[in-house]
Amino acid sequence: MRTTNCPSCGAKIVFQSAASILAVCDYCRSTLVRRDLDIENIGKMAELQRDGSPLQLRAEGTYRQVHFAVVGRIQLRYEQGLWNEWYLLFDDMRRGWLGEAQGTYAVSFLTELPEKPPAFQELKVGQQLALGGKVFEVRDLQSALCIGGEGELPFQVGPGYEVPAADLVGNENTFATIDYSEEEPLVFMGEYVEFDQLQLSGLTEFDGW
Amino acid sequence: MDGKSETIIPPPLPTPAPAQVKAFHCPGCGGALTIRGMEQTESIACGSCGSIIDITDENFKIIATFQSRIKHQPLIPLGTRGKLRGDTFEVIGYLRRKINVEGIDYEWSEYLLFNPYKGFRWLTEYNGHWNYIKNTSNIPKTQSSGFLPTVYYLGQPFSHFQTAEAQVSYVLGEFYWRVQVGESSQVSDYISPPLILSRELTEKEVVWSIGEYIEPKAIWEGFQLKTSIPPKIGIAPNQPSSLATQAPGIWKLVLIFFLVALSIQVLFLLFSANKLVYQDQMAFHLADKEKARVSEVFELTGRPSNVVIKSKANVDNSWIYLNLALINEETGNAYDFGREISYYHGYDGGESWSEGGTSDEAVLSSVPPGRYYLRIEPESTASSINYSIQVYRDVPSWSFFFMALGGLALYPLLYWWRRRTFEYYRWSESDHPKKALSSYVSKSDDD
Repeated sequence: MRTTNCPSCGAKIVFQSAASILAVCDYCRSTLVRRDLDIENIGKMAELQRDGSPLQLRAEGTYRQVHFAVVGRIQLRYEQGLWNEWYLLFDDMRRGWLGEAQGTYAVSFLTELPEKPPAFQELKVGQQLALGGKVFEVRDLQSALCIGGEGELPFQVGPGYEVPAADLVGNENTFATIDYSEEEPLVFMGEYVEFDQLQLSGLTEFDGW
Repeated sequence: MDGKSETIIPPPLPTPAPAQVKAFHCPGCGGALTIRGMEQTESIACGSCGSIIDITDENFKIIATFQSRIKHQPLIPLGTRGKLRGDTFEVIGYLRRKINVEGIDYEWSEYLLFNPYKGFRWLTEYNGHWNYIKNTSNIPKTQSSGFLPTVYYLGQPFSHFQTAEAQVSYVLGEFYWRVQVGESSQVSDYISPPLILSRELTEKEVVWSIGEYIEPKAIWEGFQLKTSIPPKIGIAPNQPSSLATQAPGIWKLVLIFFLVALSIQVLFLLFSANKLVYQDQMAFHLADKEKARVSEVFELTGRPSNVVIKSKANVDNSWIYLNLALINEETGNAYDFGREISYYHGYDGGESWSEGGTSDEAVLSSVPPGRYYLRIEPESTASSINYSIQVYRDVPSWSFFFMALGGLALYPLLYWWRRRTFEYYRWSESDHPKKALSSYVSKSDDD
């Protein structure tokens, strides 16, 4: 864990994960990027859109018996609507993502594969694809638009950042996402989970609920 | 909270404003509208004027208006909160959809349920049958081979029931998309009672949902509705047959009854005396003046039990009729009965035939103990016949056992027939109605 002060408002900024390179100040929304020992303020992060998500920073939960904390978030816009990717820091120091929208929850992890996934242009919806010894079907190919971020994140994001991605579904509740926004495609593998499975706490409280 | 701050203690964390039920006036008619789905709602249909409003638009733009001759009233009013399968949900939207099959419209109701943590669920109602449904990210696998198209969901097979074009015909309340009256999708239903798997195909996307047949009583209790429950009409595609759940119980009962009958029978066999108490050879002569015979007195002992009179005669293309009476020597009580022994045989048109036999057995049940004798009055047209008579006391009988088995077999038979009928009606409304019994028989192995 590393703490520093926001160069803009002086508030305490915590990088809970050593892998985080970006943090958004909770108070003034300054976007701080960690470069070696320095912190650079690259400007204000755009306001996130209100989406009625029950999750928020500092919420906690458990996935497969390992406790995690929600330390960051990217909000994306797809054709079907808004989608959040919450950045998770697990007690065993693993980092993962909790995808969430409208009561759908999906936990995934950045996965290193021996093979390189096919290029975005080569994929077709409905196509079968083997990744890491598992068979997936390409369900959706589209570019999501980043609305903004908050908390700490392992990469630099900003509003308007485009994320071309392939959504793949596998057996049972498994899925994979191939993120083509960087030079080398990143593969995230995970599964859909039920709200109750995550034993979430520290959630947004809704009036009357 | 912007700007430079010298304080060491940071200002309080800006918490997002609590999400609240928003109320506003319908831009169409000025009527009061409430938003219950918070930021997850995209459009709302006004029940009074039929305006559909885009609530993501600052000015509450009207997307469309629709006309409906009937103002449908949802059976569960909008805004009702209740518990289903342990989760709390609030009814925020109501719509009706219809399909047209061979010129006839079939219309059903759908209730959109919302929970800010768990998202959306649906309750659908048709003819008093209800389903509790949620969308699934888990895409079923299609298998094209076989008689019925089958899809697999979490390893479980679902049989294709129906595919039809469904059209939204009425809307009320909130939806998470921009709902339109008249919007249509191709709906394919696959069943594995009590579950139903549906695939909705529009130009934009494919959405799969998984539903479960739910008893209306559970809904009425969960939502604490005071109204009466509309009766069920017909059989729903994924309605579980109450008979199906009875099957293991039935086989258990049948087994128990069988074992009871068998042990009773074994006891009978063990405790039956099966004692020969009298036997004699006699002869009938047409010429005899006095043909009647009286046996010696014999003793029938033990509890009141049966008496079996076995008779044999050397009839050959002839008959003998025995008028018999078992008479109690002390009380004079008599059991009168007549038995015929006849045996005919021949050779006709290249085939030999025979009819009857040379022996007979008569059973008298519950004969009290005592000293008895037999009176025998034979009749015949033959000139001379030899016959013999044997009397047995307390003979084990299998007839009750076989009657019990026969009765027992009726039950599973009736059960099978009722299930078959149920499945016949279930599938009669589908794309694959059951036509013949044979098609059922080959299918019934599956369940």
